[in-house]
Amino acid sequence: MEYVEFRAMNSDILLAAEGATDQLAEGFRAARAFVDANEARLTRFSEGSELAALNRSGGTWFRASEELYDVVRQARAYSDQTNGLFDPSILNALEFAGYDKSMDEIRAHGVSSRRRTAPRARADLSAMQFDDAARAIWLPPAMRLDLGGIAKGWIAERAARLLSKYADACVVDAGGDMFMLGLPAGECAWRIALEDPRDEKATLAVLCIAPGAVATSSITKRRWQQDGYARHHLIDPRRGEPAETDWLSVTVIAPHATTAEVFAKSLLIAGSREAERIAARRNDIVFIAVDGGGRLWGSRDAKELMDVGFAYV
Amino acid sequence: MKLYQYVFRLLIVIGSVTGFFGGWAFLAHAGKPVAPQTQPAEMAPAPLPTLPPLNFSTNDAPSSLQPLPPPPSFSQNFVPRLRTRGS
Repeated sequence: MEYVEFRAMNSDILLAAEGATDQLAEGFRAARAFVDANEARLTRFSEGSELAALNRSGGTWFRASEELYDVVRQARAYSDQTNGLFDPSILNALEFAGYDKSMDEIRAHGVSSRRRTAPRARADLSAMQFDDAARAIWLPPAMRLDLGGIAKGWIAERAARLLSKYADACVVDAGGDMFMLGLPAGECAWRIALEDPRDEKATLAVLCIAPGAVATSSITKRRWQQDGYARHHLIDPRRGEPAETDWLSVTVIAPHATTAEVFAKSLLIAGSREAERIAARRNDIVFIAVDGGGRLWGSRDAKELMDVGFAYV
Repeated sequence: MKLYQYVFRLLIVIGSVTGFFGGWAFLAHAGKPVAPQTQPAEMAPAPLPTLPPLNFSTNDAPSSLQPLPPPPSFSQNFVPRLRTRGS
């Protein structure tokens, strides 16, 4: 297995692949170029991005690229599947909570002071309109989207599919959102470590996962202090505030990276009381949650993914 | 013998008819029942037994949400390159 690591989307990106070395080098270059190009397109932290242009277009039709249109279309559909717990239109609330610049900048310089006025009530996401023939999106006035997590999953899967043209087996890991194609030589599954959300150097379990996607959402990483209050990046759309949940992280295994990312986030917001109801909307996902004591909780099939025979050294 | 049977049947018929109309006349002239002004205390319905409310605020997990067995402890040096984590 050969590896390439770099920084993009405010996350550590890892490309890993097996195959002929010269082919892999070309595949790594192509995958990295794809990641960089689509980060530039889908980021909310650059005024020059296509997403920023869409966010300025409220009240008028916006003709989108194929990539942006696909991500926004999927985001709208996932909102319905998660009973609204996934909602890309929480950007105003996210900025009000202090997340108005990239996490790398917040870590370096801290957050801005809280604005004096709360964001206006959000427009209903169902008011958003799509014109498939013209590939155009209509946002209600003042609605602004954050595609952070779902865009990262979308990019990871597309980059992995691109890399797989040059490799026998490969994985793209975008800050914990992973998409795998093929299998490493001699293996019957990908072995993926589950990080302890309380200690990034600790491993809680090793999972055996078939080709497909795995994503983790956590409230312990993107955190900051705002006016003396601890805040994190996971906004509960029902309250417009950082979610109050009894879990620290949720990992979802799914056929697609966007599905894994969206349901990891939604199940984390839902917590132990509502997770079962949300997860029941999809019969193709498995999830594992970590509570404050480091205990693992899983959906019905989760136990079968635990690699109990792994040599722990 | 037949005469005896005939007389006996006639007496039964006369007795039945007389009893029926006599009873009707008696009830027709009897005083009407007076409705009670208040319900007697012993008629108040007893409260129905109720179940205690279900408490979802405890740590009880939903039925399909299962605690997973803790894996063996990992060494601090065990940091595989492929790891999923919140970002």
